[in-house]
Amino acid sequence: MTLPVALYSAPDGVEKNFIPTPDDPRYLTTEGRTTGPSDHVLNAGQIDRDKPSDPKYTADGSQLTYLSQLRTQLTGLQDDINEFLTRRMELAKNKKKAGAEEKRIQEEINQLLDGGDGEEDAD
Amino acid sequence: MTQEFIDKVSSYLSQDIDITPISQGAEAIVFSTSTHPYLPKTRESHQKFIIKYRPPKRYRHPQIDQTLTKHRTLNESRLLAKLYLIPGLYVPQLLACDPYNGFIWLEFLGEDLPGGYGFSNLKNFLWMHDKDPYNDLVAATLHKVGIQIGLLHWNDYCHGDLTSSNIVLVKYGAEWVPHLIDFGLGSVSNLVEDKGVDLYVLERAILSTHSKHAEKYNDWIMEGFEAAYHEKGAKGIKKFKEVTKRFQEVRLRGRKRSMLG
Amino acid sequence: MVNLNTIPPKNNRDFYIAIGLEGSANKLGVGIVKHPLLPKHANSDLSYDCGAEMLSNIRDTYMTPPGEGFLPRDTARHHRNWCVRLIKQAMAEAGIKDPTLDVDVICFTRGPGMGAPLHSVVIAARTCSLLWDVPLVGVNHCIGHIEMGREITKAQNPVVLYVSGGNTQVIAYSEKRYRIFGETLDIAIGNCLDRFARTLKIPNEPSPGYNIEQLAKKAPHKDSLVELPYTVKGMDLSMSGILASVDLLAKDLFKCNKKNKILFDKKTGEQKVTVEDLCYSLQENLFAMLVEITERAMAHVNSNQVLIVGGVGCNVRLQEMMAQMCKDRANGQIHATDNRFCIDNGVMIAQAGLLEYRMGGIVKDFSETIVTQKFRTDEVYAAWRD
Repeated sequence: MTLPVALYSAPDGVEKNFIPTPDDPRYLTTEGRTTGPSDHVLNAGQIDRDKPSDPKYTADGSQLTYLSQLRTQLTGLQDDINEFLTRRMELAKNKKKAGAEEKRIQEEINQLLDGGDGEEDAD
Repeated sequence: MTQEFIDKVSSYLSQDIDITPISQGAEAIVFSTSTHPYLPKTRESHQKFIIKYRPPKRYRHPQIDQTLTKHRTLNESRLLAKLYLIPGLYVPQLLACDPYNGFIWLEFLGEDLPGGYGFSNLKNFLWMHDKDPYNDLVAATLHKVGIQIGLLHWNDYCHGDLTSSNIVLVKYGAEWVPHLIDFGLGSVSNLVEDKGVDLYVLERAILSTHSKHAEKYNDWIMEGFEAAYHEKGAKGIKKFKEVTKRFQEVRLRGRKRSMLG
Repeated sequence: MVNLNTIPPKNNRDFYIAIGLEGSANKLGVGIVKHPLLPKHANSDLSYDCGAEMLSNIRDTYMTPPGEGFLPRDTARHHRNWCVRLIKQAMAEAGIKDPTLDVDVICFTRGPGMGAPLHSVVIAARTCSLLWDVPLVGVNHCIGHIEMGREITKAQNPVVLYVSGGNTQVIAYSEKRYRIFGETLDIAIGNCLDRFARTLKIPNEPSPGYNIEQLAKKAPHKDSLVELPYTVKGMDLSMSGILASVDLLAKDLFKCNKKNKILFDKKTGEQKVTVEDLCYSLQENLFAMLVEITERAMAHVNSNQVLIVGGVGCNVRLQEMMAQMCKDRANGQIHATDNRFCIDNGVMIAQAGLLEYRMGGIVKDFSETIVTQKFRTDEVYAAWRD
């Protein structure tokens, strides 16, 4: 069968292709690593009755049915995308933080220099 | 049913007092009578008076009902007594009140509109002019409505339930003079928030009841409202700005409120 | 003149079939509705009398432990994982074998509601639309409630009280739109009850409001109400102050704060008020306000019919109070539906969507199917009404 694919592109030029690897176990389950219940509700004592159904096998049990293949591959693909996006968000956050730190240092330097100038001018 | 209340009022007031039911509002049943609450009856007199009765509401808990009826009847009477003394502001004159039983006697205002449009409140008046909504008479009348509300707010009173049904038009010659009625939810307040909400409630009432021409109607009312404040000089202009600013904030809050499931 | 037969049913059938998908809050619903094609609908506003038949109406609610509300992410996951199962079950119940031939339109909730759950469901709707080659119609959730209520109760032109977890509105129809006459100035009634239920830590099953209603029935001191603020402003109302007061009382009750004279006797320190009393007082207070603003709207528009819709509309005490109010008004009539239709469901989306479809309103491009959290009732042009 043809594999499902996803293409990501962002205004900053970043592009990424997502393609499942059919034999990798992460593309053979319907239980994704990023699509479970949130920790908050689990900690509050939630019993998860909203799991996705297990994938189905063909009558002879040799392989997954067409739709189940699609479902398991999409589950893995969704995980890939979620993890990628989480990394992107963290990167952006760190950049912002780093930018703020750089700006702070630059401002401090400027202030010192300005301050020095100011005192000289005042004299 | 309504007849039950009529009988009850009749027996409470005694048989000597004639009553004719005029309307059943949400809160009160309104009767007209030719009997003044305490002045002697003169044979020639064709004067009419209003008896406004807040019947017990059986749907709500008796404790809530008694508190509300007493509070609102008393509140309305107090406000009317004070507002009647303000020059330029038009409200019905209070004649008598019995807060524990929910009765108020008032001066009779208004008349029936021609062509079967019903009683001369602002709502029926605007519906009567629905075919020719932008004529000078409508504009002038709504301007005067705005002035009334402006005067009310300028004097630090809020109505609490401004709708086109709660404004009665009284005809003097060719012009209609708006009178504010139904002060059960009214309050004494100098808070811009209360005034902003008052204006918002009216704007929405006009919008929902007179949808087709609401924009123009609201404009005319607000022009009158502004005029009443500007009349008061620099302080008035300043206060007008404060009230309208808050009015816009209240309106924005209304639109922005998320409406989940 | 309204013509509800603008678009003929597919496949030369003499009836229409619509599937409705609802998932704007914690309930996922799939419903299938059938309308017969009748000549009388070609030239009159009979949108309250479609002869609708509910072929299936299936619902599953996302449940959380006591004291917890539902979070968007987990609610969306619930809808995502149950949607296909529910659609399959609904189709089997309705006896639909080939949706390409048997279904005229797929209707989905476009808003208002929680973003993530709405999104889960619209993806299912788009997928089905492509898979089966069936057109889509987006529906305003509130309009769904109103149209379902009208069809079930045959109320032609009622004042509508819409009370649910996220909405509290008094609505009446005029000039092609459902106009909002009164509404909450802060939180919704259902939200107020849910949040109080969380303070009390009572179960969320079957619904927090239902459990408050049951507790209120058992209140031992019904004669003496705990006084709470009563905040009606014209046809609008405010509820956040009431929630704050009753929350404070509940907390003092749990802490056994004897200084609180409302809850404990001044001299003996004996407890005067129970949790059940608080539930009772809260309900009595809130519902009196709701009935009052509804009556105000009725008087203002000269109407004598009321229709109660939305999840809180199932509350028997609210229905009782509304019925009493109607009884005391000349020719007053009350219309309410049971919890199959009051609580969020799929058939109501199918019903409202099918009306829109029959007037020729279908989605022409997927960009029109973007869901929206904020979608006011009066934004919808009600083409099917006169």
